[in-house]
Amino acid sequence: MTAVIKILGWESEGLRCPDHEVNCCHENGTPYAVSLIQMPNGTGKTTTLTLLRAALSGVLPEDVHAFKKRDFDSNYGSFSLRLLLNELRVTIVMRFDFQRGSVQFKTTRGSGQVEGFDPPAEFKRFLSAEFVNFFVFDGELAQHLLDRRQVHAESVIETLFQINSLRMVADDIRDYWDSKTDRNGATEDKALTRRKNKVAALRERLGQLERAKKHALQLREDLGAEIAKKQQEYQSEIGKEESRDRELTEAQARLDDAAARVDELAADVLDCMRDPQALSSVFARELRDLKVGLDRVKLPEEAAREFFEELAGEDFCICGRPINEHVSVVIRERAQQYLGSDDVSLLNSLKSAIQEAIGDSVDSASNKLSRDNSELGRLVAERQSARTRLKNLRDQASDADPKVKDAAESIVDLERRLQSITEILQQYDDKDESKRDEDTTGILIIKHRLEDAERKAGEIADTLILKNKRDILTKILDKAYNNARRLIIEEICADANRLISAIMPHNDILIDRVDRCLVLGGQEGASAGETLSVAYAFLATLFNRSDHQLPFVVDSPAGPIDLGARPKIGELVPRLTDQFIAFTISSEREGFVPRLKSAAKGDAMFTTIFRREAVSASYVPSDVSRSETRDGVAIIGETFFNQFQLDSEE
Amino acid sequence: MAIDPKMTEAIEDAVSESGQPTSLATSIVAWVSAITSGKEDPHDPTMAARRADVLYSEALPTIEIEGLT
Repeated sequence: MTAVIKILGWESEGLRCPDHEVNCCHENGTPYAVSLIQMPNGTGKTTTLTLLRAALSGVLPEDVHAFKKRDFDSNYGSFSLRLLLNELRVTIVMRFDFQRGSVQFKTTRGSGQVEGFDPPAEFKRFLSAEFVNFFVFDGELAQHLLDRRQVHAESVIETLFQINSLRMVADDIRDYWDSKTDRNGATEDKALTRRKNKVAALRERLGQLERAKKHALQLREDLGAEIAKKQQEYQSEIGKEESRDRELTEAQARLDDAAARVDELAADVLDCMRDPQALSSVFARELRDLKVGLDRVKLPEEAAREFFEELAGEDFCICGRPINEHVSVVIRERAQQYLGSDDVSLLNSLKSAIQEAIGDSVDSASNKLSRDNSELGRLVAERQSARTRLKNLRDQASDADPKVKDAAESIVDLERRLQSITEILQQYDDKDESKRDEDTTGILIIKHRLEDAERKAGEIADTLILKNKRDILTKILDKAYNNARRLIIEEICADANRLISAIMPHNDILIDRVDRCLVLGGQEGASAGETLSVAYAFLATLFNRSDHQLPFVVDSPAGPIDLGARPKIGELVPRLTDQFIAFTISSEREGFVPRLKSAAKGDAMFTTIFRREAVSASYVPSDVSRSETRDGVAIIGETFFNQFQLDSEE
Repeated sequence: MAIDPKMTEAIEDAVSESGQPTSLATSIVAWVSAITSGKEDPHDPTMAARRADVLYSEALPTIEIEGLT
């Protein structure tokens, strides 16, 4: 945001300078482009400038007593500065307590006053002790611009052009990375290596198990085929003896039939055992008692109330009898007895279910289960008998024919191996999660563990990619920050040097670079006038380049400058800023003030301030605009300003 | 205030030298412009995260992670 700072005026009372008030504004409240305050040396120019810096930065020099008015009994003093910060009027008041040696700041914004120095946040970066020195300065500060121990010109450039915003973006980029990652000590690289090893081990284990399962499945298929082949051989040998073959076929059929009936009835019995009333008549009795004990059925209130209301309004009941007024009232009154909560539906369902399950007799279900159990025992015995009969027939066949025996033995052997393979295959469906990876045979478990490990490794990989991007972005921003600073400083130096050449064409003095301070090229040192000119040129370039509008307050703006260069400085100053405030003495008017006023298109204010005792009353014409305090006189007007001839009061 | 042209130039050069897409430079310039113009509070973490998200999505990684596919 563009910052516009204007000084509207100030007032000093009880301090080392004469009590005075300066108004930098036209009657309509807009500040003059140029405000010239003429004060002879010793009147308190330096004090006033120091107070302005303090009020603009909130920082006061340590020696508070140095501001106490001489030969003055009061222990209190005050300085208030009126500002316009963009559109907001702000007043900074400093109250001096010389007894305690303290200064209290107060800030008024609009109608509210707060303790302390509290300008709007967006102006704080300009209203700091370091920055204020660049727009409230004197010959001494101009010298400081060339002294790396005194200033940090680069930081002012950074502040003015907000080059630091690139650093702020870089910080946000790092914060974003921090918020997206959970760093618990181990580096991401190590964690990724660990995860990748885990993924590789699980993949290897899964491959082993899947290969082993495939092999077992193939073996089972081969064994099945072998068994089928042997059974065919066996049947073929058996079939050579017709009567035995028939007997074996019949025995096998009987066994199959018995086994089927056992399976069917066993399934029925299992189903039946799930009903408690079938396990024991005690359960059936208790359930029936529960049903009887439940409240008499009531109708769901929501649905039934409307029915009774409509019925009471009819001429005839559903039984055909007429409904008169008395009956209608009775229906409405008795309806309540039949209305229950909506939960009644559930209770009705429960009672129906009990009735359906128990039936008329509490013993019927348990009796049926008992009968089925007896029948199942009989069928199992029958199946066993059929199995024994078949085995005996087979044994007889084997004894009678060695080929049949061989085939039978082969089948038994193959079936044993098939059983073994089937058990092995069951291991691959193991659901036990407690075993370590290398001991787990459950393929599904290993697959889930592999998916989990791959996901975690993927997360770390994403983190590494993010870290890589963070490094790229911060590197770009760091490089952009350094380049932007260098490019802007180079351009400011080049522009400032063009101005310096115009102001001092014969001095061979130029800014070589900015290295904390301004480093001059061409010669070792510079005179006070040269230094001030360089400072003007540098600051003019700096502030012109920026969109921010800051006032420019200078002590002795032309004093040390050669008469030949003064007009050029006078022309330059209004280009520096929209508001120029200067503290002058009479001897620096020549060659400077006329050109300054002309460059400002006449928008200039002239005030002369001196101590009452310094000038005799007859020196001041009676027709000038004046304001007097207990120890100071302020004369407003250009004529008196130009006539005033007093450089020093002491 | 608007972003200084030299800042834009420095950002574009840094992005280009890093082999990153020009859209990344555009996004950085937009973010810095929003801060310097006062349109965006640089201390607003939600807005900063949103801007950072754009920059991270536009930056091209210079590493490849092998062994996970």
